[in-house]
Formats: sequence, structure tokens, C-alpha cells
Amino acid sequence: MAAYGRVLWENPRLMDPNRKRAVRLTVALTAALVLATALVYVSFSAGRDEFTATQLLNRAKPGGQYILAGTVVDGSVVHINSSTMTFKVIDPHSSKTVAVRYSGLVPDPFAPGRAVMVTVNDSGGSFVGQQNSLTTKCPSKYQTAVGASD
Amino acid sequence: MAQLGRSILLLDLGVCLYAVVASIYGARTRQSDWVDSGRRAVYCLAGLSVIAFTILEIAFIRNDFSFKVVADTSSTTIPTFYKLTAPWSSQQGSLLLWVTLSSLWSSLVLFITRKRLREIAPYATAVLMGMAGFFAALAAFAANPFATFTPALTPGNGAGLDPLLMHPSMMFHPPMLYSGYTLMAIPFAFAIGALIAGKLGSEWIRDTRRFALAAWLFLGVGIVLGARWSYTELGWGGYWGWDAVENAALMPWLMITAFIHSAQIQEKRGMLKVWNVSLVLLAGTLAIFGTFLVRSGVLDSIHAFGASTLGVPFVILLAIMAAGSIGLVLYRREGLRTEHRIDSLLSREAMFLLQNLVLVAMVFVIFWITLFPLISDAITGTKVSVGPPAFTPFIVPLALILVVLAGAGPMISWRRATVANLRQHFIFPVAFGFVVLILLLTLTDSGTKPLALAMFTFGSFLMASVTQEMYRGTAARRAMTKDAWPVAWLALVRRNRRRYGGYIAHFGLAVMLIGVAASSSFQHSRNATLTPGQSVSNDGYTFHYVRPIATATAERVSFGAVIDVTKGGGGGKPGQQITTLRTEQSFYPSTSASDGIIGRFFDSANADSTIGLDAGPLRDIWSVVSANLQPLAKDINEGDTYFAQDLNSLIKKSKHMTVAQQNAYISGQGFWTFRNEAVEGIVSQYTKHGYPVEFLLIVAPLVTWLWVGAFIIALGGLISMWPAPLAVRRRSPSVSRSRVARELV
Repeated sequence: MAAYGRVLWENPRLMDPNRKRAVRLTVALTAALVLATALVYVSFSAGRDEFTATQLLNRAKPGGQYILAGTVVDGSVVHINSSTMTFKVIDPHSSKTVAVRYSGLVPDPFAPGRAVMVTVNDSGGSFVGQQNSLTTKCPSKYQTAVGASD
Repeated sequence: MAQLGRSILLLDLGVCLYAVVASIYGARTRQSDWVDSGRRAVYCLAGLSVIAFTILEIAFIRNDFSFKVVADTSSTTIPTFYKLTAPWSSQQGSLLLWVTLSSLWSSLVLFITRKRLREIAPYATAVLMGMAGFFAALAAFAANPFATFTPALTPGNGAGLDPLLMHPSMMFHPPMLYSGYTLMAIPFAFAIGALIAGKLGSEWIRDTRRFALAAWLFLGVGIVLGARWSYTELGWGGYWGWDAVENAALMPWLMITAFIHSAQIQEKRGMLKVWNVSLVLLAGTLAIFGTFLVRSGVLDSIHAFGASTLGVPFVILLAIMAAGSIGLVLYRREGLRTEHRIDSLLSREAMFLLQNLVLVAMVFVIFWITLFPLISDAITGTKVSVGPPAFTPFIVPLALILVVLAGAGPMISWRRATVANLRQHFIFPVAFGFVVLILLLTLTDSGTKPLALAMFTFGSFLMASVTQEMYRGTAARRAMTKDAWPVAWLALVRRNRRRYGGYIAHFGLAVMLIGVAASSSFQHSRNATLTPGQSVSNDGYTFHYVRPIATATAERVSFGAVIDVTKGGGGGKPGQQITTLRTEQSFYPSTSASDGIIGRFFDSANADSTIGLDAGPLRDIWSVVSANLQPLAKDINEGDTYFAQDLNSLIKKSKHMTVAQQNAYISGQGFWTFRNEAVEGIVSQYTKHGYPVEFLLIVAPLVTWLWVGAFIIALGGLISMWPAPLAVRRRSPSVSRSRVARELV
């Protein structure tokens, strides 16, 4: 077998071109299939559900970790100490809110009325934000104009 | 002025339409007058767009708040430098910038090719003007930069620019990205033109090669500037977060990188025609797809582009581009058949193809994971968030393969490599990589991170292979000319800019990826709450919070900290002083009356961070403070109440006056002076009391090499793009050639 391989290596034209093409195609398709399968598997296993406040209240289970997305409720931000605060996140499509206790770095644009995402753990009835997981949308870019007259 | 700007936008649309019709009519009827007229319409569009953009810039500089976009994204207090950059912070202004850049680049390519590609250029003109017309139509009808307030409603002051965008790189980062995106349309348009005209040779690739390289260069520089902005401005300590908007720029860049490499195979051997045209069409479509992601708000992104109505037009444009591209490739599939086949898997063209496959696989992975929240939402009804953990298992191994191929490719012969060829070229780079591996395993703890260790080894192999190729080329040159080494090296690069510019870019890639691997794998990050005088250690460094700092100016109030960083010490001995960092969080006054007369100066919604950074060749020490304003809240609230009462009282006393007289009266009573003194007083409280504050402290190795590597890549790209001097075409005498041959044997 090794000798045959060496012969082919030194005289590659001995191999039937059609067979060679079929082998290459099979190898390429197999590689693509493996990549695609792994990609789908990793996407589902590495991803975490991103919930609105309504979905979180309906589906969260104690001990579970979720990503909460929504808008910070006006007047809900309370600083408990230099590194810990609480705030409420509202589902933009309903009036349901979730209170979050959060410690860690607060992004510069964080403020009531802004859209945020935060990773929370359900600790049995209350939600605790993971340290440094709070991200805030930057509000200035590309918002639709209101009240303009052309 | 606004009316003039709007009229020019409408005229732009007309010009685009004319250029499309004239070019296609000229091409179909073979009337060169119409083709020339269509091309001149592109020059006309460029002129008009520059005038329109200048009008907008003037409105920003003059604080003309009758322009809605100026009132929304600028103010009287922001520095002139940022007024100049503010136009592209808005949807409206950025669309106008797109049209302007697109028309300028289109004019340049059509001027350069005006006497060549006569059958392809008219169709390319039509495609370019169709795309420019699309953006002009959006600017004219959906997001008009020249929309105005009625005089009665014109605000006195603007809302201001988001503080996060007040960073020097904002002058260059968006125009670089937009240049990259708009340049990407040029090879796309010429590929479409070649397919329609049936001219499927390499001419269109040769004539647009520099524009593909320019798209690659500008987009790449834009991406790196964005990473630098993220590292120094966003306050999270990273430079890349696999955010949807970052990925949107990376995908077309990777695709055009693949094209730049595989185009050489078509030029040299007439191979990979379908592949090349597909890469270009995909890169052009991905550039528009990226723009769609950025502007539609369809995906969550920390860049947060608010909901807009532009999604549907972009989807239509993307559908047309994708369907047209696929249809044309299928229609011309016979003409796109390759002239030759790859002779061996151990040939340079096979290496190029493998490298192309890796790059395309990277794009596929990024595309899938970026869109996965939408896919999962459609399938399961729940959005699934995916971040770096989903990207890393794929992108890192693919990047490792890419580095090996980038090192191996230039050392392998075209058509077929022999064992002797492999032995001759590979011994030194492989040995060098192996020595680096042994040294790292022996002297450092990099063995704990196998993927990073592999990147250091393969990166070393790549650098050694480039150095070897440079050495061989320089030695051959010296054999001919007897020049000194540096002179011979410079002459070598100068005479074969495309090849050696590429090698330099490969060297930069190795440097950059080594920086990325080290800084991401061996970063030490720590959160700490400290009061003045307290210390905390991180990765062998001691961070000592020396004192708080606070300043108040007309533009902002800032609260920060001075941190001393030392190393070693302990047991009563002081550590070695490494650096002193200053980090601040600044608050810009809000324009909302509900925030209070004093409270508006402490509005956390208008804050940005200035990091404390000590960058070095071996490591970066990075810090950011999150100011604790809670202890000041009582004073701020009392100030709001007191000044609101005082202002009401002054307004009552002056109610018989005109608005101007009233303002003068309030100022004359010293109201604003007292207000400013109150703000300064509250700010000064911060330094008098040792409030505890939150810090993020990071020690990360080799970050500097990421930026250095990116600079080397850009330099390599620039060298590759630069036109070769005429002298290069001069043939070397046979005597020299034989001397070189003797030297190399």
C-alpha cells in the first residue's frame, strides 16, 4: 500500500482523473458536512436563551442562567453601595418588569429608558446579574427622526 | 442652504438614473458617445455629492440648528473637531457620506479605465450608479440629512454628540469603513460587467486589482481603528467582542482577502474563474449585507442602531444582488470553465485554494453564528444569544491553519513541488518554529494554553518563512548589483511590490495574531472596590488607589482616580514603581429640563470613560473607574430644588420683559455664576471624601503587537497597491542573470 502510494506520489498522473476528482469532492463535502454539523451543535450548546421580562417570568427556573433584554424602567435605578445597584427591566411589548440586582462595572451609556442586556441567574424568586455582564445600547446612532419637517 | 442640499440630492438621483440608462444604451447600441456621457455623469455625481456634503459640514460648523440632524447630533459646546465628525454619527449624514465616497471612487476607477475595458465598463458604470442611486434615494426620501425644523420650533442648542463618539478615531474610523464598503462595489460592478459582456478573461481583474486591494486596506484599517476605539473608549478592556456590527465588517474583508489571493491564480494560470467571480460577488453582497445589519436594527448589538425603516429597501437590494449574481454566473458557466487544472496538491496554487477555503469557512462560521439569534427565534420562538464561546472553537483552529498556509504558500513552487524543493525551503522556518516551541515550553507557562502556544509556534514559522524569502530575494539582488543589504532589500521590494508587499502583510499577520493570542489567553482581569489608600494585586502588580480627582468645566464634569502601580515588594519592602495611571469618568450636561438645573451636569446617560493605560512592548496595564455619585445625590437634589425656586422667582420678577431681556436679567442677577459655583462645590466634595469606587484592572501581555501587526499589514497592502516604477520593466542584462543563477545554485 505504501509502495503504491509512493508510486502515485511520484507519478500522480497514474491516478484516474475522474477518480481523483471524486475523491477530492468527497473529502471536501465530508469536511463541509463535519463543519456544518459542529457549527449547529456548538451554536445551540454555547448559546443562551435571550428573554424579555415576560418570557423570563414565565419560563425561568431557580438556578438557571438567562440573558435578559429590555428597557431600564424610569426611576428604578437604586445604588445600594459603590458597586451594587438594583434596577428594573421592562418588556417593551408588555408592562411586565423584572427587578435585577447587579454588581460590577456599569457601561457608560447605562440610564433609565435605555435598552440593556444583562446575564441573570434565577436565585429563587429574584434575579442576580452576573458581574460585568451588563451591556447598554448606544442611543445616538441612526435613530429615526421625529418631528422633522422636510 | 437646506433647500439647496435637498435639491442636490434630488439632482443626484436624476444623474444616477441618467448614467444607468446612457451606459446601458451605449453598450447595447455600441455608441461610444452614450457610454462616455454615462461616465461623465459619474464625475458630475461626484461633484454634486461633494457640494451636498460640504453644505452639511458647514451647517454643523455654524451650529445651524434649523437642520434637524445638526440639532440631534451636535451642540454649541462640542469642539469643532467633533462637529466635523458629527455628520456621520447620524443615519442621514452617513448615507450622504456613502453616496459621496461611492461617487468619488467610481469616478476614479472609470477615469483610469476609460480607454480600457470598453465592453465591460458601461455595465459596471450602470451597476455602480444603480447602487449610488439606491443610497441617494434613501437619503432623499427615507433619511433626509437636509430636513429642517420650522423657524418657530428651531431649538436654541443641540442635543449634542454621544460622548462615546468623541474620540479622535471617529474622524477616520467611519470614513475608512465606508471607503472600504464603497470600494468593494467596484470589483463587484466590474465582475457583473464582465459576466454581462461575456468578457471572462483576467483583464477586469487586472484593472480593478488595486481597487480590490484598496477596499481590503481601507476596510481593514477601519476595523482596526474600531478595535482601538473599543479598547480605549468603551471601558470593558477588550478590542473585539464578536459583536454583530464588528462581524458585519469582518465578513466582506475576509472574502476580499480570499479574492486578492486567488485572483493571482487566474492571472497566472487562467484557473478558478468561477471561484474568483463568486468571491467578488459575495464580497460586494456581504458589504451591503453588513450595511443592512448596521442600519436595520435587526440584530442586537452594543453599537445599537435604533430601529429604522431602512431594513426593507436593503433586503430588496440584497435580493437583487444575490439573484442577479447567481443568475449571471449560471448563465456564463460555460465561459467560466477553467483553462487548466491544479496539477498537485503540493503546489502554490493548491495552497492558495486551501487558504481560500479556510477564509470562506471563516466567513460561513461568522455568518451563521451572527445570524443564529434570528435563526433560533424563527425555529424555536426564543432568541438565543451567542458570544465569543461559540466563535472561538471554529475561528481559532481556522486561523491557525491560515497562518501555516500563509507561511507555506510562498515557499512552494507553482504547479508541483518536489521533495528537494520542500527540503530546501522548509528546513529553516520549521526548525525556527520548533525552537520557539521548545523555548516557550521551557521558559514560560504558555503550555497551559495549547491554542495560544500553537499560534506562537505557527506565527514564528510564518515570520521565519517570510524572512527567508526576503533574504533569498535580497541575496539574489545583491549578486546582481553588489548593493549593500538594506539598499538591495529596498530595491527588491520596490521592483516587485505586489509580491513583497504581500510577504510584509503576511509578516504583519503573524505579529498581529501572536498579539491577539497572547492578550486574549493570558489576560488577567480584576474588579475591585477601593477607597483612597487601599491596594489590590493583579498578576503580580499592586494597584494602589492614591487619591480621587475631580474637575468641572463648561463642557463636562469628571471624576477619577490616581493609581500607583508597583511590582514586587512585600515583607515591609516597597515594590518597584512601574507607572502611575489616571482614569476618569466624565459626565456631559444633558439638555433635558427634567434632569434639574444641577442634576443635568451629573447625568449618567451622557457619560464616557477615559481609561488609564500604560502600554508597553511586553504588557499593557489598563484601568477604568466607575465613579460613585451616590454620596453626592443629596447635594444634587437640594441644589435642583433651590435653583428651581430661585429661577422661578427671577422669572416672576421679570415676566413683563421680552425673552432676551429676561435672559439678560437672569444672567445679570448672577444666577448662572451661582449655578456654576454650586456645581463646582458639589464636584469638589468628591475629592474631600474618600468614597469607595469600583475599578476594573487588567494586565494583558503583548497587546501592543496587535496594533503593530495591523500597521505592518496595512504597510504591506500599501506597498502592494503602489504602482510599480517604469524602471522595473527594464530587463536585466544576461550577464547579471547568469551571475544570479550561479549565486543561487
